[in-house]
Amino acid sequence: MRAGASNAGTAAPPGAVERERSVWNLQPWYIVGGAVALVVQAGLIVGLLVNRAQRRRAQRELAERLRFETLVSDLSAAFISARDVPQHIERALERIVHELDLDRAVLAELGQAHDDIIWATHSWTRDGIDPLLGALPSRAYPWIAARLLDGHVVSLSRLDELPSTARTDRENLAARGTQSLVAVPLTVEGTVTGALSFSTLRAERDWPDELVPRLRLLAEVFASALARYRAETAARESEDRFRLLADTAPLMIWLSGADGRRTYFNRRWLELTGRRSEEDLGEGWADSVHADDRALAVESYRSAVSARQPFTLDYRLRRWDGDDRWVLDHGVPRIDENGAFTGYVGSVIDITALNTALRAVLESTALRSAIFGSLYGQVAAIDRDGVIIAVNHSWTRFAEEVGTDPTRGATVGVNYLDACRQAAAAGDADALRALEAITAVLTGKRPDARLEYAFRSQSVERWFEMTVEPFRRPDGGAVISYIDITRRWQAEDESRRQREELAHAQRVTTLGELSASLAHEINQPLAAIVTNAQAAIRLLDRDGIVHADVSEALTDMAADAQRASAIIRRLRALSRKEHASQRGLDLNQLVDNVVTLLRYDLARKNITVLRTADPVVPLVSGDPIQLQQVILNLLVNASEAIGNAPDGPREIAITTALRAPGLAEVRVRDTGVGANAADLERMFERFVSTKPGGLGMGLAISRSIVEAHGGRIAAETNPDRGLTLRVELPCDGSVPAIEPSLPGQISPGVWDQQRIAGERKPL
Amino acid sequence: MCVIDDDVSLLRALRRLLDAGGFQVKTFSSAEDFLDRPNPTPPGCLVLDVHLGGLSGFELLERLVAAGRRIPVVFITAHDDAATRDRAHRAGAVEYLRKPFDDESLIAGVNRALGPA
Repeated sequence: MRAGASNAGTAAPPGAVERERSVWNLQPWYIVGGAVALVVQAGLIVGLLVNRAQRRRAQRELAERLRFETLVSDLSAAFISARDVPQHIERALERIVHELDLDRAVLAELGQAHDDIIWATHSWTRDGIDPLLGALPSRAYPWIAARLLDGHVVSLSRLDELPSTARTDRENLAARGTQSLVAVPLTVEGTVTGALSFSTLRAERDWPDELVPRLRLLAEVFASALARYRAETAARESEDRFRLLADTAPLMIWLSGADGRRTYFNRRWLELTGRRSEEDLGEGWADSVHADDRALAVESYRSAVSARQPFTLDYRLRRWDGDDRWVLDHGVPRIDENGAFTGYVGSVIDITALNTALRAVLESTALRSAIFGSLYGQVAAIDRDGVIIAVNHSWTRFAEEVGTDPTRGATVGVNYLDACRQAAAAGDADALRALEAITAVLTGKRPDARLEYAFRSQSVERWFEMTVEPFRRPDGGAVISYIDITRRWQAEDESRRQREELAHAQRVTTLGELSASLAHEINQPLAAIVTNAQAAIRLLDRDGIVHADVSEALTDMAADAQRASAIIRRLRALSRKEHASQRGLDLNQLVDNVVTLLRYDLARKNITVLRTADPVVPLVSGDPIQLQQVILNLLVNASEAIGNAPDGPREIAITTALRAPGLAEVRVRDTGVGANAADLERMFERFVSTKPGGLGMGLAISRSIVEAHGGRIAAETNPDRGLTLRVELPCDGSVPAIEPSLPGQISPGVWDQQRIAGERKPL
Repeated sequence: MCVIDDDVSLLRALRRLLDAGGFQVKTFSSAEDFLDRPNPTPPGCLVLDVHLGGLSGFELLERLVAAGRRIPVVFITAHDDAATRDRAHRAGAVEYLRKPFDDESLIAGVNRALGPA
């Protein structure tokens, strides 16, 4: 081949011209010295030589043509398999470069506009020459690119052959060292898509006319191979892409033909069923469906196929390990560009885990709503804005019962805070309290809230306890519950009645005890009266004086004195129980006990108790029962004084304090009706009462007890309203309290500042 | 017989009554007065108040018993309770009377104290 190529080079037409010239040079002086006869001889020789050269050229052309035909047929055979086209193109380029003794061959794609890029996609370059691949700006070769795009062959033996308008092309070619160039357009279906170019860099060379059609033929072979290669690559890539997508998708995918028979399952499906593709294709997939679901699934699928409608099925799919998986199978009709139905593309999701989770959620929800619903109390959940989002049965029942009540009749969707505001504006103090409590919990100002109030429906009064608990979730809100505590209140009422009886008994007892201390003194004169009367009767008798009226008068006198004594005795009988005096009594404790005893009674009367205790605990000596009786008396009096006041604050402040060393003080301050100066002076006397129906004994007994303990009691009018009663008791000294309650603190905490609506009931 | 009571008014009334009943009566307003009397012949019977200014009735009785004198006693008291009554019986009282008492109860008691002499 190489020999042939070099032969072709030396035997090229320029060589022939040279040889003709050398004939003239070889015989210069034969011609000068010879005759005209030689001219003919010379003409003959020339003729012979020309003839020989023509014969040789024909032979060369034949050989070249043969080689070209061989190359083209080799290439055509190689290009049958489109996959190897790029490789074969490069090999062909190499072969051509060597056979034509060239330096470089380039196959390039050509943009359609002049400023486009020329992409050198394949090239072959002789060793020692710079290779050429990649992007070449087409504006560097505007003239050549334009010629090629117009379908012309560009053939340059020398760069000088370029027209003057192709200066840019020329300069750029020169810069690359190109000496000769031939370029053929690649045409696919009449459009120029690229170019095939050959060039020499070491020397200039001519491009024989017969070479051009061959190169065109070669270009055609290349162009069609490339076009086929590209089409096949695109198709393969498209399919590869689909498979990649289908196989990596997190769901199962299938395809079907227009007849509904499955034509494709992706890897995920096959992995789940554990079957080979052929087993599930066609109608085979139905075997993977759970027997109980199969008939329905197949039936539904068929009717969807015949209607060519999208469908969604759920059924159990048998997994490779025999486990049944719930799946959701969604099919969408495939319509081609002509609008024809070509089958389905289906996607299948395993929803077993989802189903399990859903069932768990449903069960948990059912359980919760069962608990919520079965609650005896009325429960409503509100969101952070106060809108009711759920209520239980009990709430609904109560709402129906009370209907018109803006707060308790509220249902889902109603803003509960607004309902409370509305009721509060209408004068419902309980609604205002509820509003404050709920708002405090919603805004996180209070961890929870609880309040008690009376609800009066048409017929009866019922007591409720309202509890507000925060709704512990990101969106916030609260749960409000009402519990009917009427029965509890009734029970408390009963115990209150008992306490009142006890208090009453204690007061009577006190009276009896008081009388006991006086009994001796009273009985003495009574005994004298009786004895004197009876002595008088006997003396009259002894002296024989009969005076019936005097005798009767003396008898009556004795009898009446006996009667008076009997009264004293009966009173004394009430105070048989004796109490031992004790030392080291905690005065704070005594006061707290009484306050606790009266708490519900005071709460019902809507009276706030402010309890303040000195940080040191005064210890006193005496009878704890009697001392408590004094405190009880003062509290009962205070609450009755408040009960008699028409309006204003309802407060009792109880203070225990160490007034001076050895002197403890209990102060009971009320906001009741108070007393005038005259009443103040006499109120501790027996049988003096400022209260309607009062016996006038309470304060008298209290004074007796206090004085018996070595203390004193006094009353004073408050600057604003009500009275303050002060009890001073000698104390044994004081010990620091373990837990000092600071002034202003309220105790016991449970009923701090409670303002509970209640009707006043006289004790 | 002797009557001891710290209430002078009652003491006078008792003297009148017992005089009328035909008894010879000496009265004292305290246990100390009784013990200090000028002519200390033991009386046949004592009408004795439980609560006296100085020595109580019980204490007086204990002293008399301690001194070996067994004098029948009728206790009278204005301060009647179970403890007092109990103690009176244990001290060997012939009678225990709550003031104000009936003349017949007193005379019956005194008669029993003086015995069937």
